[in-house]
Amino acid sequence: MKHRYSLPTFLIVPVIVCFSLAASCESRKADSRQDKNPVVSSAPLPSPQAIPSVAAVPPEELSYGEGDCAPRFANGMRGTCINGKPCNGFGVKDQTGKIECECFGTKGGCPEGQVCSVIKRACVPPQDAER
Amino acid sequence: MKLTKGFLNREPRKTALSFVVSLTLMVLAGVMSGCNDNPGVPVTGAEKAADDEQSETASACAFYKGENIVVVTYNDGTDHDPTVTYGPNSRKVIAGASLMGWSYSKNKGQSWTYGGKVSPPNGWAVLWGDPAITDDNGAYQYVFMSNLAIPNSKMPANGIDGSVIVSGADSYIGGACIARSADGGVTFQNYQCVSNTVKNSVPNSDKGHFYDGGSMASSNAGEIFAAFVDVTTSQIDVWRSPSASGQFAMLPPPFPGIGICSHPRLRVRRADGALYVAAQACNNSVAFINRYINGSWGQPVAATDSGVIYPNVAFGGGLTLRTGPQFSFDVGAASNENQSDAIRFLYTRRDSKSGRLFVTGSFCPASLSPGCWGAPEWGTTPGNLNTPGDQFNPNVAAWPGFIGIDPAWKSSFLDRDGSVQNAVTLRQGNLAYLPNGNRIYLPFIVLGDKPVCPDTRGYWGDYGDLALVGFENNIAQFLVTTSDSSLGCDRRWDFDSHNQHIRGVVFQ
Repeated sequence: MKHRYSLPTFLIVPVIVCFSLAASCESRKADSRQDKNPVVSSAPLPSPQAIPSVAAVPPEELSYGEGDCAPRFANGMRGTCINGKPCNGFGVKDQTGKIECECFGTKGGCPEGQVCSVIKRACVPPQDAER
Repeated sequence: MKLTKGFLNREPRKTALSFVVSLTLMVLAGVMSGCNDNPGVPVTGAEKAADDEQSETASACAFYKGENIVVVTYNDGTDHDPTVTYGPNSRKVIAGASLMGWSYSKNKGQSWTYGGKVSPPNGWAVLWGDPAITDDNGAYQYVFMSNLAIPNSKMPANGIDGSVIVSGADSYIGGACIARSADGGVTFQNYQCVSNTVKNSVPNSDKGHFYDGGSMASSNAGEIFAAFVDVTTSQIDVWRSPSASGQFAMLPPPFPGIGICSHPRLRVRRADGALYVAAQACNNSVAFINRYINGSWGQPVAATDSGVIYPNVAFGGGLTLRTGPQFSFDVGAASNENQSDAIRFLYTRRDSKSGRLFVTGSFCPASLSPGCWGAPEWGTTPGNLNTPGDQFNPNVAAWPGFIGIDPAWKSSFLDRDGSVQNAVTLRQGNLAYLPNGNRIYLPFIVLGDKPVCPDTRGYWGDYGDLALVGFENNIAQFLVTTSDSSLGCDRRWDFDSHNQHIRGVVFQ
C-alpha cells in the first residue's frame, strides 16, 4: 500500500495563507524591479567553531624623527624625517636597534604616489589616508 | 517503520510537524520582513537644489513630554558657510566649522525636522564629524551626541587645506566634543569635550590625541559612556559620566597590550548595566570585546575571526567606495538559559577564493566566558546564500524583550550585487534560530539599487546606523539610516559629492 505524508489539517490554512502572502509580496516586488532576494543554497554549512584565542599584539613603536626634511604631499599630508632623510613612512627599529624608514613592513617607506597610513597599517593612495 | 494510512507515526510525524512549523515561521518571518514596499523618507536633503551634503549616521530614541522622539545625527554640510569651502581638488576648513548636525522625528521616522548644528565650544575650533549618539536610559529626556574635534591649540592660524591628518597619528584632531539635549533631542547645547593629552612620541600628542570614530551608550542607572579610537596610542579611550549632569572621566584601557585600529562600538546590557566595548586589532582585524561591570574591566576576548578594517569596495567603471567599521554587535535576549548567545556579532570578511566581501556572524555569552563562537549561518557566508557581490557595513540591533513583546535580533548590511552599476542594495535580516535550534539568516531588501555617489576619495558616509525606535502590534520596529543619492550624482570632487543626503526606513 502506498502511504502519503499528509499535512495536519490545522496547519493547512496558515501555510496556504503564508505562501499566498509571500507570493503576492514577491510578485509585487518583481513588478517594480528585478527580484534579487538571495536564493537559499543546498550546500552544507560549515560547523560552528569556537573563536580561537589569539595572541595580543601591542602597537608598533613608531618614530616620527627629527628635522624638517619630511616630504610633503599634495593633499596637505607629510611624511617623516628619519636619519636626516625624507621618509614616506616612520622610523622603526631594526634587529640591531637601528632606526630605519619603514611603513608597516615596507622597507624604505612607501613608493611615490602612496602614503603610509597608521589607520590602515599599510601604504595606501593619499585619498585613502585622509579624514 | 510502520505507518498508518493518512497519518504519520509519532517520530516521522514529529519531524514533519517540526518541518512544517519551521517552514511556516520562516515564511511568516519572510513575509513580515521581506515585504517592505516602504521606500523610506528623507531625513535630510529632500530638495534636489540643496547644494549641501549630509552623510554618516547615528540614531537614538528619546522620550520627552509624552512624546517619543527619534533623533539622528550625521556629518552635516547643511547651509554651507565660509568655514568649509570646496573646490574640485581642494577643501579649506577654518575655525568655527561644525559638522555636528541632527534631525528629529516625533512620528517614529515618518517625517523629519532639521534640528540645526552645534557650534564649536570655547577652546575648540572645529567639530569634525564621526557622529555618535545615545539617549539616557536613566532619564529619557536627555540625549547626548559626540563629534571629533580640533582644539584651538592644534588649529593652524590660516586654516586647514586638505587632509586633517598631518602625518600618521599626528592630526589636527585632538579629542571629541559632546553635546547634550534636555528636551528629547529637539535642541542641543555643548556639554563637555574630552581629550587625552598624555605626551608620547607622536608630535603634538600633548595637545590632544588623534581621536577617530565614536560610539556612545547609556545604562539604566543613567551612566553615559563615549568611546573613540585613540590613533595616537592605538587604544580605545572610553569615557564615563555617572549621570546626565556629571563629568566625563576616562576609564582604564579596555584592551591593554593590544594594538587597536578600528572604531569602537559600545553597548550596555539592560539586565545588569554592564558596558561592552568591541574594536578590531591592528595586526589581524580580529574584533576583541571586553566588559566593564562593578567598576572594572574583565579580560579581553576574541569575538570574531579575522575580518577586515575599512576595506574599499570596487564598483564597475572605476568607482570605489571607502567604508567604515566592519563589525557590529548588540546585547539582547539569549536563546537559552546559559545566556550563551546574549551577544551577537555580524562582521565583514573577505573570501579568499573569490575575493568578495561577505558578512558573517558570531556570538558570545554575556559573561564573555569561556569565549565566543562562530555563527557562519548568520550572514552571507559562502555556502549560505547566493550572494555573489560584496556585502559590507553590517549593523546589529537587539530588543531584549519585555512582557508581551517578543525579543528581536535585527541586522542590516549593504550589498553590491553588481546587477545595477554603481548601486548598492540595503538588506536586513534576523539573527534567528529555527525551532529545532539551527541558526538561520534570510536577508530581505530594505532599499534596492540605491545609487552611490562618493567623492573621488570614495567617501559616501563611512557608516550608517540601525536602532530600535518603537513597537507596533507588540512587535519591535527598527530604523535604518543610510546615505542617499537618489536625487542623482552630478558632482564628484576630491572632498565633496552631490547629491549626498540621509534616508531613513522603519521596518519590523
